[in-house]
Amino acid sequence: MIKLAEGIYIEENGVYQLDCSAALWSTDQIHNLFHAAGTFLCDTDFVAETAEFILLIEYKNANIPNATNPDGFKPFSAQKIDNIARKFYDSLHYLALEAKNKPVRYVYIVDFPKASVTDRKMLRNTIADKLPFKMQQGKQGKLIDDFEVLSISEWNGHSEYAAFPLTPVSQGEAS
Amino acid sequence: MALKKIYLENFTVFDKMEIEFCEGINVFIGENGTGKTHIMKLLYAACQSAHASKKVISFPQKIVQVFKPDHSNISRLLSRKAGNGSAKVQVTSGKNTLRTAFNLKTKNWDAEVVGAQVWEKQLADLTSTFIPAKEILSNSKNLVNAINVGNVDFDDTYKDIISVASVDISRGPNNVQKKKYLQILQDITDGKVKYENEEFYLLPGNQVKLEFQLVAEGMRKIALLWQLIKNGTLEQGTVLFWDEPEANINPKHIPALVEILLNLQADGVQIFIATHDYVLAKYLEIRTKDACTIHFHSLYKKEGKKESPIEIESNCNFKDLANNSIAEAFNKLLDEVFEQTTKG
Repeated sequence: MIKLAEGIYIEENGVYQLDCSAALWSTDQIHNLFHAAGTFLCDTDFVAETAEFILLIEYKNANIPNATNPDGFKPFSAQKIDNIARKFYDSLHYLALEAKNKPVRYVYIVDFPKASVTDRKMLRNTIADKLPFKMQQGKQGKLIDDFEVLSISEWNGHSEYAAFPLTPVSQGEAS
Repeated sequence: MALKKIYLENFTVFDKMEIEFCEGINVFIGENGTGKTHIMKLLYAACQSAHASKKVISFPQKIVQVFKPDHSNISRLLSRKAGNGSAKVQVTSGKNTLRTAFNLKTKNWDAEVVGAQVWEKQLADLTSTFIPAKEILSNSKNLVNAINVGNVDFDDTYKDIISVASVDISRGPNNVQKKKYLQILQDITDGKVKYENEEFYLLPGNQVKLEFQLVAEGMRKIALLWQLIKNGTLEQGTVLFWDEPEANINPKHIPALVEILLNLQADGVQIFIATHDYVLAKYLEIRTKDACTIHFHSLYKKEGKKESPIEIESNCNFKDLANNSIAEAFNKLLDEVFEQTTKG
């Protein structure tokens, strides 16, 4: 993501911006750190910290003009599902390095043609099967607190995540 | 000419309802008891009362024959809440509207009818077909005669489909499109339909013919579609009503079924479907190239109000229906699965 003003980022297609200025701390630099270190780790697009939790956010929008390879976007493919799950696990290393110890929530913001609430719930359940929910049951520690798959409008209407609005890029705000 | 609109007042579960249709595919969804099949039967009765080749049958009489109220009394179809009021049914096609009205005092099918002459003139050549939810061709032998003499009690949708399907000829142009339909359906059923001595058979490849009773119900439904396309019943300018097409059909065949329906629509068949099936509804939504050629009509009651009237919501996109009983059922299941996965 391209960083604008402090805590405001433009997504890969240049159409939407994510405003995390209300977060205690935020970054989109996981990728740069992993890449510079020469690792094979995958990263979520974004991290934000609130008083209560750490939010890992992965964003994909195949529903806009000139979206990066929209026809190639197959949200339910095994490869894509595995990739989304893997980004979570790999990003936990970054949180450890940053000594972030709060409960971790993972949100996949995704929009694609003709997607419905039911489609996103199916996607949520499929990915959730690969996240460490079952593994952590009965254990003292917890790797993941919650996981959601949301459309952009669901994200912006969420009782907690609406504090970080995802909106069309405003004219003239690029730095 | 396509059916454009229906208006109902005090008819069975309906207080007041008006629905506008598209010329393409109209899909009714809703919980049991919200009147999906009733609407389709009324539209079918309106079409059937116009067809010039049929014996003269009035709209109210056909309504009685497809609904089968006790003692053939149309007044039984008056909404229970109507009290001493009247029921009204109005079906519009083009600029013409066929109307009927009745009340508690109406005997048999002696209901008031307005607009019948113009309606019959306009729709004289209209062929309409109603495929009921329960497959009946496997019981066809002697069934029509038994119904006619009153030995068994089936509504006319069953009798009519047997009559239509028993036309065992290849009618109409055998064009590339028709051949494509027939091939798809033949591949699914692995055979062709034959009507012989008042019974239906499936001819699977090189094997001997199979009586329909021995064929899986889902396959019989697909085979019926094959027969209706082959004998020219489903072609441009006709109307198809299909109640729960998904029943007994393996979900893996739904995409092929949807392709057939979309091709029929593109060829000028107006289609009405009632469904409870998420897979069917979703395939119809995503495979439709022009959103204006499909309308989803959701019939529902306001949440938590058993006595509230049936309401209607229409949308070109299945996913955009605010009242979507199919999606709601799926969402509830998905949430329960998620709860189990994440919390154990």
